[in-house]
Amino acid sequence: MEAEAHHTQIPSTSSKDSFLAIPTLPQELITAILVRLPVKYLLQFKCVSKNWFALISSPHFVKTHLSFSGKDRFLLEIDTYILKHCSVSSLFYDSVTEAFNLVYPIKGNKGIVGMEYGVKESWTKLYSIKCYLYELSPPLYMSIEGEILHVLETNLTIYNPEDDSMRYPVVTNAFGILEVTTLYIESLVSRVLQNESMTQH
Amino acid sequence: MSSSTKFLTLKTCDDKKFVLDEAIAVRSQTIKNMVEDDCVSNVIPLPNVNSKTMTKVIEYWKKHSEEGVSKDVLMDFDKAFVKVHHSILHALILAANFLNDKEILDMMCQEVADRIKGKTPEEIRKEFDIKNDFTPEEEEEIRKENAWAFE
Repeated sequence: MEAEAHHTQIPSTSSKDSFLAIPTLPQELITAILVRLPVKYLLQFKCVSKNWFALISSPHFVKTHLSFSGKDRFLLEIDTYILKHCSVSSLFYDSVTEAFNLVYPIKGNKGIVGMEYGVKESWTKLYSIKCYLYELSPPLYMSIEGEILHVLETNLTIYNPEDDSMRYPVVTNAFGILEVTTLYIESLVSRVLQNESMTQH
Repeated sequence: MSSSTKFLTLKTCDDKKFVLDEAIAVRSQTIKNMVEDDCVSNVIPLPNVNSKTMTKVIEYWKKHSEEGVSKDVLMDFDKAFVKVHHSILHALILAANFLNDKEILDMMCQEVADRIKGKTPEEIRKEFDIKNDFTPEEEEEIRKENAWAFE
């Protein structure tokens, strides 16, 4: 909260001779720009100024960033400890999905990867899979069309309840045995931050 | 339609006047509200927008109001539209915010965000005209805390 209190500049209404002067953006507009950036850049930009540090650290910003960053990443753990991520919509709609290595802090206790962030808030549709599949995981994600993503043994699989069919999305750059999959959202939320904000307010 | 076309006059902070079809001007929610509340006299003053910026905004409005323009043409137009100096981007963000045009605002904020990805804090300061008010020690401390992000 305190971030919004100080240094809220009044936008300069440039006069004729100041076309190349850089108009100062008020805090709300800086926020509108920064919420579009990945966490890695935001952490770098904390050292731009005290004002930006306070802004990026503020619970309000963290929350706005979280709601903006969408729910479109899927985390794959391969051969134990190798973390990759890919786009959920790509799994459903593209013929081939590329997985990327996950960049995250390995050292220290300030983990950026939080795995339990209210993603499954809207499981309202009931469905039953007709064929008997012993190794099928619980549902992981459902597309707008109603197709449902699971893990079958060690493969990602998309089940279509309409016609009881299965298809297997092709993921490149993720060879090995799939061990854990989960949806995740990249965010600035951390245990440390929550504690800080609690003591400050 | 031509018989009912109404025109509005917009006046920017540097006293330039723009005569514009009302149907186009109401892309601005701010102007739309004024028109709907019937508080439009002859001239609508835009005290926060200069003429150079307003020219750009109107260029966008007109293109996006044209009939029968294909999506591809608009996409190309948008791509070219955002290719301006960052001071103009900032001015457009302020104008879009004042005019309450979410489409332009979102597009411009995204453009600025895309441009600052991968820049150093020092480059950001230049671009946003921000003074570094950290001591070297304080800055070092923040860098250390977030060291992985700087790798």
